[in-house]
Amino acid sequence: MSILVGPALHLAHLIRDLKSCRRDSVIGELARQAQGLGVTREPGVLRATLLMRERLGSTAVGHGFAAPNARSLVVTRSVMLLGRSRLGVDWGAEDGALVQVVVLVISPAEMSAPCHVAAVARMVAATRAVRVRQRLLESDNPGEVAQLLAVGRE
Amino acid sequence: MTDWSDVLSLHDLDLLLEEARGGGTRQRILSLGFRLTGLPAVERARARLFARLGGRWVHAYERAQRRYGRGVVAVRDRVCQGCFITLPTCAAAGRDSLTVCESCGRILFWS
Repeated sequence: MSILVGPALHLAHLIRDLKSCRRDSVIGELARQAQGLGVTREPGVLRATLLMRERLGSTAVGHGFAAPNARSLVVTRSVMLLGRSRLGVDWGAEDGALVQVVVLVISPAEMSAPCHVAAVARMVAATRAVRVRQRLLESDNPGEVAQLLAVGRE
Repeated sequence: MTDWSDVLSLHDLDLLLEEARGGGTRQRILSLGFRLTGLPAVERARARLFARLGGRWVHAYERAQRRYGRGVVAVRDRVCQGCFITLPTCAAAGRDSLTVCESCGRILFWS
């Protein structure tokens, strides 16, 4: 499955209930999923890069939403993976809310920094609306999820 | 971690730092509600990673980064993504190893 969400960005996978309940494990789970989708051959390196991004500053933006993201040499194409956690994950959000929706945005190293940040910004903008956040938590339809996230397209 | 994964991690870390330090992207990231308070910690982690690398890679990485802005590039379909030269068949590397592009001198990651 691969659904176009924005310019050169595809929703590659929807994980309805993340197995992990800790931030670092969730990132590892998403990196392994990316490997399963053929987006990376080195999930360990991708995981290390994403964890380093979290060390730079939490990617939780409040209201139960987080957007871990990175550009990496081990990523072959830009994709987005969405994972949901029923129980919520402590992501170090400023509002203290547990994260229930995690949108991983990964891009190849060749992508410029402004392009990558713009892709992340689209995702964050899309999730500002309460209605969208609610549907992202409930919807089991990857097509609808992709459409909801495309709302933030610039 | 092995030498080759350290080189890849170092490259990815430099991309992260480029986003966090660059004026435009930094402002954009902050405007999204992300924090960048861990910049000194990431810089320290980079220094530690760099110190752990073998001498050969340190030299090749620094030289290529100084010259082109990037120390490592991917190889896609036998083409160096830095200088876009088609690499000879004898230049192929195994899964866990890196090579250096004989044309531009960048470290090659065979993806």
